[in-house]
Amino acid sequence: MADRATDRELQTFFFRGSDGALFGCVHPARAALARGTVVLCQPHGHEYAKAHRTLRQLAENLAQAGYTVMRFDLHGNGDSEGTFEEGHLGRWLRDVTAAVQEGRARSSCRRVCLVGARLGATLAWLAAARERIADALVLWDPIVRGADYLADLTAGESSRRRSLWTRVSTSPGDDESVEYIGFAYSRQLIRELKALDLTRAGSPRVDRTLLVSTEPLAHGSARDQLSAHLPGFGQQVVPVPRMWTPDDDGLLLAPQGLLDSVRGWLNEAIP
Amino acid sequence: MNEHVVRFGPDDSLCGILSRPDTREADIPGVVLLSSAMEHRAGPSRFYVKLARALAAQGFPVLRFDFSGVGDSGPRRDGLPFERSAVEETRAALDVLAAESGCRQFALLGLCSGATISFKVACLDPRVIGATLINAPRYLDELGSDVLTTIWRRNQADHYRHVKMFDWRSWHKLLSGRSHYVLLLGAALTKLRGIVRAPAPVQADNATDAEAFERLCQRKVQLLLIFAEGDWGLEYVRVVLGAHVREWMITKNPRVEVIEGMDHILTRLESQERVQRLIVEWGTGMSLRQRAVTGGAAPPRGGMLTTGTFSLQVSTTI
Repeated sequence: MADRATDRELQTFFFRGSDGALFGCVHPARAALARGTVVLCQPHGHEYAKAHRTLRQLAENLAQAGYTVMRFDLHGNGDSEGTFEEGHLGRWLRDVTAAVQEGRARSSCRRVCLVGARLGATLAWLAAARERIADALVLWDPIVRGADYLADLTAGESSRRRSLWTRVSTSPGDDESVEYIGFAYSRQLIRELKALDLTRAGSPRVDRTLLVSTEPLAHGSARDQLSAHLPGFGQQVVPVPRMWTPDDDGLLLAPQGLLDSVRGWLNEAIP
Repeated sequence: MNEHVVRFGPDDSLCGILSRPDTREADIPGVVLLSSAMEHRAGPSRFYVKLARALAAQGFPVLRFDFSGVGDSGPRRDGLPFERSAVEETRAALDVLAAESGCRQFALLGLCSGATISFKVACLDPRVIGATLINAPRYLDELGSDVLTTIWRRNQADHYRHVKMFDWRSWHKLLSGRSHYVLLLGAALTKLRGIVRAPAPVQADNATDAEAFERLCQRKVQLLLIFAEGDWGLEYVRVVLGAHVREWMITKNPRVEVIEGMDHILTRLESQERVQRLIVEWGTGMSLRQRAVTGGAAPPRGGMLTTGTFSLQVSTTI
């Protein structure tokens, strides 16, 4: 539980992204001098709400450990400006860069660690591959191959529609967008996801990386192949309840084991 | 986008987003959106963000916020249970919306337990002139386990009849020994009893809830109840308030809408759009009625649409 001072000092604001206002939160470091700046890249779409509680708890834990932590919402997600349909990877990458700049401006420490969950992890990787914006990278269940992710979304959407009393079409698309679990994915975003494959993307320009997987890494799986691409690679499998599919309740309680793993690794990566 | 963050409540620990209209109209009510218990203020599938911006475009100041311990709001220190703290925090939200926007009257909107909280605050606070309750699971009363069990069984029986019977996966589970046979048998018996004889009323009258609805209507509070077909809350209303619903059909308040193809948390975009249109239409009508009572200025914009016994000014830019 966060203490009273942390609650009182939590900074909540809108800041300028590249394409409009983005919502941000800063948890100030509970130390005279911050050890580093952590920028949390949250999941998108239906996974945003599932992860919010845990990521907030992670931010508070890291603030207690002496880091200034910034959370933010991507364009068209959470409270940020715009519609979800306007979102695509290129725009969201610019949001990550803008958030890092904002986090640095609000922190006394220039050393940055990007911590991303799901698509947030993927964006953190890609943003760090474009330019040196961070010293360390934590990837929690990154989306490695967009085609696989789209298949999961399709299955989730079909499952949702089957549970309705009134039969509705299982082809939830039109010329402009396709609906997946409450969100309209633009055709541009779908094309970008289909082309996405982190195992063929450039390596992030960071000193150290941690891959956190909440499911066992099958040998040869997409996530297992990432190690060859990650500088200063560290890997942890932290078993927690299933959480990313629409019917999972795994994130109602923050998985403390996962939070402790990330905090412990950061203490070593950014002493 | 005309939004900013507001912090309020004990130690400014509650976090909300205020959506302001571009031009402020006199006497227009403010709107507060209440999430279900553990849900972030953006709402399921970001519905509250979209709704807040649509209502602001129609001239309503709108506040969405996180209850304590949820989203970006800090935890409470006084140990007050949620049923009471949520009511206090909602009333604090009305106070801050009044201070920020100058509104003196308010409409509440809630989903699931947020709907229950909306109803409770509407009963308590005379500033509330309207409430939209989406899939409310209950209102004021704590019902006994026997009543709840009967409602649950009826809801389950209907779910099997409308959904599971048409899903080949359910039949596969049944034939491969992986179904919950006790549940199935209970659902079948419940349905069979309903077919053989008319179901006995579970409770002839839920006096507390019925009286609360009556008092709100006497106060001219406008109520809109929206249910997904097959929702638990709809079964609750049928079973516990059935006789009163027949009166509502005549008085048109509360207004009850059942949306086909909608689930409990408004996942489908088509459901979100329908509910949003319904709420904006209803809110505009409520605002008009209030202005007629107070002698306020003419309605802000839009053409005329006649639906049933109402003539409403609605925007065509939804």
